Amino acid sequence: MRLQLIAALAALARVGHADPDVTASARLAVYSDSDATSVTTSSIAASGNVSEHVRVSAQYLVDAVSSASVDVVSSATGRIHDLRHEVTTGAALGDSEGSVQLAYTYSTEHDWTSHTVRLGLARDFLQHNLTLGIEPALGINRIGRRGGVAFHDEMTSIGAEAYATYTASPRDLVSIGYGLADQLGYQASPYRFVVYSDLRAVREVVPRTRLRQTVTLRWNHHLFDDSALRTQLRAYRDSWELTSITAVAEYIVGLGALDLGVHVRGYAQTGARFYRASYPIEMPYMTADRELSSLVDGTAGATLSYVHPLAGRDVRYELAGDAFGFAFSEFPALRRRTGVVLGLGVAVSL
Amino acid sequence: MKRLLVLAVLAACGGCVRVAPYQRGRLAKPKMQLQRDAQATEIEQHVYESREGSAGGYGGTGGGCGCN
Repeated sequence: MRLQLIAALAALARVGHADPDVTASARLAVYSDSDATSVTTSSIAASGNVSEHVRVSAQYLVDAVSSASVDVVSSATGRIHDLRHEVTTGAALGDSEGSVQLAYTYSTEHDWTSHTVRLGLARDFLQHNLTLGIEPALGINRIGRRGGVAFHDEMTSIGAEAYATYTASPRDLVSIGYGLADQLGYQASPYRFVVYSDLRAVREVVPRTRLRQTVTLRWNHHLFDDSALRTQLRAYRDSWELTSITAVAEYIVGLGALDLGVHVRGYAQTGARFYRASYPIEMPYMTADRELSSLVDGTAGATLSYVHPLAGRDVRYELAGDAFGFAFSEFPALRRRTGVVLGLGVAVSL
Repeated sequence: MKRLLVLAVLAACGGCVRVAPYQRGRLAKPKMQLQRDAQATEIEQHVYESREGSAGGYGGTGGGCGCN
């Protein structure tokens, strides 16, 4: 698949008589947590120029999921194994003043299929000191259920993120973004049931509309020599009254051909207004989704990348490792979850 | 939230400092880009968005190097 992507992009570049500038990359990430869940993600990607102003890209990703988490076991399905395939293709048209990007993603797994189209428009102002952009997106999802009673439903998401990026000084880059997205349709899990009162169980029911809003501030500061501090603060609120805050800080230092980075991430959210640790009576909306309960989590990790010339081309190798912990204050079946994410990547310019 | 965004943009533009092209060498470095590695970022976002209640807010490019 990787060779086919690269060959296709190189052929397109030859047709357009452009410097192909083809880059190819592969990445492997392994997630494992204390809730008996592991996910192995493999992806390959390639991009190249087809003319002076047009660049095309393609990516293929596979998630292999194995889980016997509290969530899965409570729905009486035992350990699950699943594969998710995702293909993304994109094209970008741009010059030194601005760009237009269009991308399409198709994702499928045994009980979920989605089509997503994203558009990106960006333009520089004030002699490239200010970039204004907007990124609308439309997603159409079809949800099913494997085994048991037949189930089919749909969910559509439509939204956009607008941002302004500004060069505050020769060492400082700041950005502010606002995102608004509306989700319409089925947003629960067809596998999940909620127990209430005298152990009666009903299928999970949540509202069919959800309006999400985000404000994101980012500040990248160049420190001494070849090093940078990258920070991010994100505030989130939706119409289910779930509110969250995310803070990220990363420090990267270049040591010749070697880049070393360390990062920390903190996250806290309130629960959705209809979430309860237990339901004494039947209510219009009932969920056992711990992602809708109040929770805090933290991540710390490091990345190491190394650029090595091979046959006249630069090959970049990357190794990454994260450790994380979650604490659920309103989810009695699982109070803590810890885990690791390990990643390995390689990229080459052809 | 919308008011906060408008105020922040106005505050930022009110103190506009033009950085000349010859001063942007550091800003153009990969370490300073808002989106450093799209492939890695996508995997990372997927890990978090499938385990937290919130989503979105990761868009944006630019950086004063004319490379948006």
